[in-house]
Amino acid sequence: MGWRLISLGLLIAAWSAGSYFAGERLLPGPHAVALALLDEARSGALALNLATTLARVAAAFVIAMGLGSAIGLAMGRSRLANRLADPWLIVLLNLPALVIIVLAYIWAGLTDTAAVAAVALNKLPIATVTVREGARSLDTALDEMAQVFRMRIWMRIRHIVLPQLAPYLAAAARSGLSLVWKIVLIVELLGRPNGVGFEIGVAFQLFDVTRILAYALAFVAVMLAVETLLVQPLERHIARWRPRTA
Amino acid sequence: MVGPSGCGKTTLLRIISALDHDFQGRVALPAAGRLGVVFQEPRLLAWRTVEQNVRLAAPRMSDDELAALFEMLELTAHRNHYPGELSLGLARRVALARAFAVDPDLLLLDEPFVSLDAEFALRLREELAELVDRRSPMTLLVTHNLDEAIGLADRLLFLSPSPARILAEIPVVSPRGTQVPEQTAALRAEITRRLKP
Repeated sequence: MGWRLISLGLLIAAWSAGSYFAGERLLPGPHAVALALLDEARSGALALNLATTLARVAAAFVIAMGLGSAIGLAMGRSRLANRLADPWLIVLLNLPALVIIVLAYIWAGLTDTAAVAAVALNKLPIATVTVREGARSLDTALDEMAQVFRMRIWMRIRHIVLPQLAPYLAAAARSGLSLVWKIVLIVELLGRPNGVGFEIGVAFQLFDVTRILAYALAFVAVMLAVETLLVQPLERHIARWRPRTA
Repeated sequence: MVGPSGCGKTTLLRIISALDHDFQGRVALPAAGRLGVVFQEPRLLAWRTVEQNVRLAAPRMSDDELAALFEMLELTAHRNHYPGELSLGLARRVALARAFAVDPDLLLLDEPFVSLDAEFALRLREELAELVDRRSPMTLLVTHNLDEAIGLADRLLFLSPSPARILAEIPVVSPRGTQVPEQTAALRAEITRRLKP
């Protein structure tokens, strides 16, 4: 903990020094950014924008993880499903995020549905590939055990399949969360009238670096909180059966 | 069931338990055909405790029944442990408990005591004999160990090398779990005589 604080202190010091040399206009110091943050918070705009963006992140994340896991599981377990879906997967994996976003807005209009769908579609193939890898490594010996003991399908999924997929799901979730929120900002910048991405877009047009930094920092803080309060405890819970590694 | 390696003993068990469908013929299971299987490896869920592993196979088992089963197999102290914390012998015992927990009509055991030290295997054999006597499911045990076969079985089936056929079927008269040296010797002599080409 101590070292982390020292590291953080160094970062802020470097920031201050950089601001001193580059000038307040190009790189406002920590103090100015903190004041801007306070300003936005007082007006209520900060909370509203953060909540809006977070809602979009959550929706896109849940859709992408749910669909991606189901498709990945099917592809990992069935050779036919893998053959059928693999070309689609490769296309989707290599389609630039920007293309998906622009097409979604053109086809579905400048709506939240289009925004969330575009983000989910960007994340979907990565979740699919990761979970497919996990599904391929499922232990058939345990499947046979479940079969001879006539375990019900939902029991098998809950107690046999999901625990084996857990590390893959965790990896997909972790990389997915950071990817999703970055793409959500772009989606908001391009076609939404609110959210952190929209605010940053406005600040960009006004060359308001202070506000850009204020919003970026605020959102990083939110995602950090999600990581430490949600993702990490969940991972610890899932891995509780593993023997402790030193 | 005794036979040389690779003659298809495990395959036969897999056919009976409907894990292998590539065969000709018919499998007739006793009663409702509820199976209890002990594989060569324990096949426990590493992420569930001993108790949960047994309960997942037998969700309808009452707490009292489970407690009695654990008591008999000396697993009570380990019921909240994860399989990774158990020795192979203990894990085998959990697999045995799981197979008995479902109250099977047919119990299939695929070399359940292989690679255990002799003393521990002997104890487990005695426990198995006691469990089989008490609950009397029809039991098919595959083994390489003739003493184990004689000690546990009512009937011995000897298989030929692949493609396997039944070479001899020899009844065992001594009560299960006991080994009377003279009887065992006589049985061994008969087996040698019958298996001679």
